[in-house]
Amino acid sequence: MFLNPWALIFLVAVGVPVAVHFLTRPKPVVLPISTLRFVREVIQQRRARHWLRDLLLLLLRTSAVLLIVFAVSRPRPGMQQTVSTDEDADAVRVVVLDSSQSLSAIDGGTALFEKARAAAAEQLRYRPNLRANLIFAAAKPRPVFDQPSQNFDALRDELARAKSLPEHLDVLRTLTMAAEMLAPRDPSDQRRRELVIVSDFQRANWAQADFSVVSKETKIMLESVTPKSPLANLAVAGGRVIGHTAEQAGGRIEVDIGNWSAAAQTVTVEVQVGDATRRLSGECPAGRQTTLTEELSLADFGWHIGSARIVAAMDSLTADDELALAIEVRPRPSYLLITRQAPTLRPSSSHYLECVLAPDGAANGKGTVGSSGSPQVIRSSADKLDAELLARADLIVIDHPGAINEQTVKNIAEAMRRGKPVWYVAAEPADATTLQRLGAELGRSLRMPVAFQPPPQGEWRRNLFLTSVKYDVKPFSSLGESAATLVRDWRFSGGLVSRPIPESIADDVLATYNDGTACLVVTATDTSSLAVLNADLGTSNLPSQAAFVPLVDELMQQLTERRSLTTTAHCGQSLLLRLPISGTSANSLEIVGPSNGDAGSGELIDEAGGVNWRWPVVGAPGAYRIQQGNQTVFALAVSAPAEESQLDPLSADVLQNRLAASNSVFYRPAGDSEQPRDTLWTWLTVGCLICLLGELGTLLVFRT
Amino acid sequence: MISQSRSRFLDLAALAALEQKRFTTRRRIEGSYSGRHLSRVQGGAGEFVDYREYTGGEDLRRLDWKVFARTGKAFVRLFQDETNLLCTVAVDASGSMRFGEDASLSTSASAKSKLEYAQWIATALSHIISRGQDQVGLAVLGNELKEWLAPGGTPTHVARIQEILEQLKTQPTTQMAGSLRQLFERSPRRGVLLILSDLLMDDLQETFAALRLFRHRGWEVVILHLVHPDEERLPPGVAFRLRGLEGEGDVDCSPAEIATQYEARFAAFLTMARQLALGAGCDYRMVSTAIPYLHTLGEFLIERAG
Repeated sequence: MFLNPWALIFLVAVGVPVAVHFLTRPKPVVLPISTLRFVREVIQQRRARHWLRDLLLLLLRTSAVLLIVFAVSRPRPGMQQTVSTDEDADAVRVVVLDSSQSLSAIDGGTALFEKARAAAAEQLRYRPNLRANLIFAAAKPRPVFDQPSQNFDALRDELARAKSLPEHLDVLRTLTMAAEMLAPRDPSDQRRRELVIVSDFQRANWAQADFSVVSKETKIMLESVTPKSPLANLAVAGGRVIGHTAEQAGGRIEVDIGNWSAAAQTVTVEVQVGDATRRLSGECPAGRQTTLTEELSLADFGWHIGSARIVAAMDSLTADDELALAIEVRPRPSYLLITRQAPTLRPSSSHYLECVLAPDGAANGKGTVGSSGSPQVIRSSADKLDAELLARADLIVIDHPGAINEQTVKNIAEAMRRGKPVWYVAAEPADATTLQRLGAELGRSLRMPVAFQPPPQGEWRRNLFLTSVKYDVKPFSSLGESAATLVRDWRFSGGLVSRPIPESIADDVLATYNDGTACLVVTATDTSSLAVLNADLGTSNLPSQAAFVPLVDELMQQLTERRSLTTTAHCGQSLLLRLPISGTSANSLEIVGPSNGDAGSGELIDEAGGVNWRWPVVGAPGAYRIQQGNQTVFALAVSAPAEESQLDPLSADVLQNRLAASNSVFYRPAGDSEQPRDTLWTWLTVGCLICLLGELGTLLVFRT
Repeated sequence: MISQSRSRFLDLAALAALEQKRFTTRRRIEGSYSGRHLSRVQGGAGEFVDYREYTGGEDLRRLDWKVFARTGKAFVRLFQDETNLLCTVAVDASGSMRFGEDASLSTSASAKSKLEYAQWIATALSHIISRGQDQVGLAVLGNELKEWLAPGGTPTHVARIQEILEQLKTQPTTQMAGSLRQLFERSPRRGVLLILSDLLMDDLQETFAALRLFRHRGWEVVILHLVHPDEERLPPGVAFRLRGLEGEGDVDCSPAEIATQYEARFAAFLTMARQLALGAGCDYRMVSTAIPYLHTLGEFLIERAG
């Protein structure tokens, strides 16, 4: 805090004016006087004036002494928490340089990263007793050395070569790594510890910062490179194709545009998918994300690679103006109906399901074939189920399967891991066991909101009706305003009893019976979805209702759409993707990256049940394809996290007070150099002179 | 009359020049005996003054028969009676009268203390008055009347007065009205009241209220306001601890800082004292103790003689 703290000892001189005041008071001569009453009257008039004069003089003299002592001490306000400037101080310093995508933003023709680089270089100047290290902080912190070193040349070389990455910043991992580096090696290690973080302190990243992992003895300095005026930015935050199959030509593309600027803007986005090009345009309000939509017809099914790019964007960050797209145009989904009911048993629950899944197909005893000749519904009993059947299906429907052996449950779980959604119609007590085993097999990736159990012995569930329905959520939202009227006539029988699971997502229960048990549950796993209809369709009147077909159609679409969300990944993350392909090995597959090569694109590994794509650190943004020969069997769109586009910084107050906890954190805004603060001593000297002049003036004003 | 006094304040040689002067009064007075001062009573002897028409019941011995014979109208002759003077000398014995007694602290070497000055003047006056066949009394004023001798003219009486004056001691009193009221109650006959005081008292207004009682009864009140030259201005110096002579405590001050204000305040006091005295119908004379008392006394007597 003080450059010359030894000078503070002269603060005792503050008492000098007081001492002088009392010591220089003349010793009075005792004089008897007869007119003391007159003297008293006169003094009474002048006493307040003299008292004011004495007080002013004392204050001015004391202030002058204080100011001159502080001036000699060279105070440096705000520097008490910063890095030491003493050349001989024994210190350990870790410099964290934010390398996330937001640092690529341009301010005044200069990238924020270049400003950060210069600021970091200032902290990496050689000093005899200083050990330092440099951490490039992004999705994964990358230290230059394992421990602080005195090899400042290497640190500066690495700093000169550094560049910002299309990644977000993992603050907690970075702080934890820095704290480990700064931890003393032994109790006798009393060196000063300094953590310097050079960043734009973007709200999206730093809101989760927790400085408590850093020891309280560590001096933390946050050096911001954020300009005073907020940076405007437009970004393509996401893109997807909705409701598109080869047989349904009328799909649509949705592009999310984030307008992180102060004013609304009209944004034009050029979307190119395969040979198709579309221009989406719309008004994007400030400070929020807006979705632009356009019809998109793709002739061929399969994987299509494309991009969405903002046209003529005038913003500070160009890296997020374009987003790669990986879109799969699928044929009409084929369903695998796992049931033990015979196809000839009509009416039956499985018959109703086969009819509703392929309403225009032709039953052939093993399922239903569509008009194109491809199978739409494949019937199979659980004991005849194999991996090939599971791989061929786009969606698995389970109805009256009876008791399923453990291996079959494992296969179903593996299919779900590879993105196959499952619709389970739980009608019999055995289904409770199957659902429990399936949940156990999927582990933590499946979090059911309720646990299904067989109904009590001898109790027959019948005449159940719905009392609680989420009409604003799919699939019930597709029924429109008449949903409540339609639902009123539905009666259900069979099924299982259920009980809520604590701390689960209750919103996944979309409909509830009058006895409080769940009717329809749709929950997502890491890679797919599971829907459970808790009823026996054979004894319920739902299949005879007019809403049955659109309801199931919407539910199937909902389940298959969720699967498509797994085709994106963020730069810098680790990726382990179970490819939704089967019947092939990793050797026959090839990863093709955006630069037409597989260097740095991870590796494909054969595992039980299929091929996995492992990528420890997802690389550059773009579309990556898995090709088998010339055919693309899977595609992955890699981009920086959308949050990186929001450039607004966290306020210094939040960083220093709310997030700092008990640590001492000093925040230095951009462009705030130390030199102006070091001139404070001159102002103190000026203040001292003003006090002395004030004393002179006081004496003149109060002169007798 | 030969003085029997042994008072050190009675310097007969110095007073020899003043012995021919008389302490007179321009007012008519009441006296015990026949004297040389105009009496308030117009008696049958003395100097002819005027005629007045006779009214029934009057003493026929005063009827001027010759005028009656010439004019046929009855007139009585009026004569101014003459009597002796009853003078009461009242000396202020408050603590403030001691001011100036320490010559080492005084800037005016010739100035006496006010008390001593009053003792010299009072002693001299008692001698001069008694030599004029008049009667002189003494009152020592403080919070209460400490000493009182009714006017008398015998050498023994005068010696007693001068003895009391010689042994006069001050007391730290700050009020004088009470003692004046006591004096008023004890004085049955009109005369002259000569007050020797510095008028430095807390009850100045009450004091003059008491003097107005004397005036209402027909007394002639003469105030000799004693002022020491060091009272008019503060001594030069940086720091003094001024100590009141009447137990008022101490005040630390730098006289240089308040000199102007003090002098103005003291001048205002003198003006106020004069106005109060004249307003009460008293004869007022400010007397500086720096002036020799004989000189002051001479001027005073001359002025009294008109």
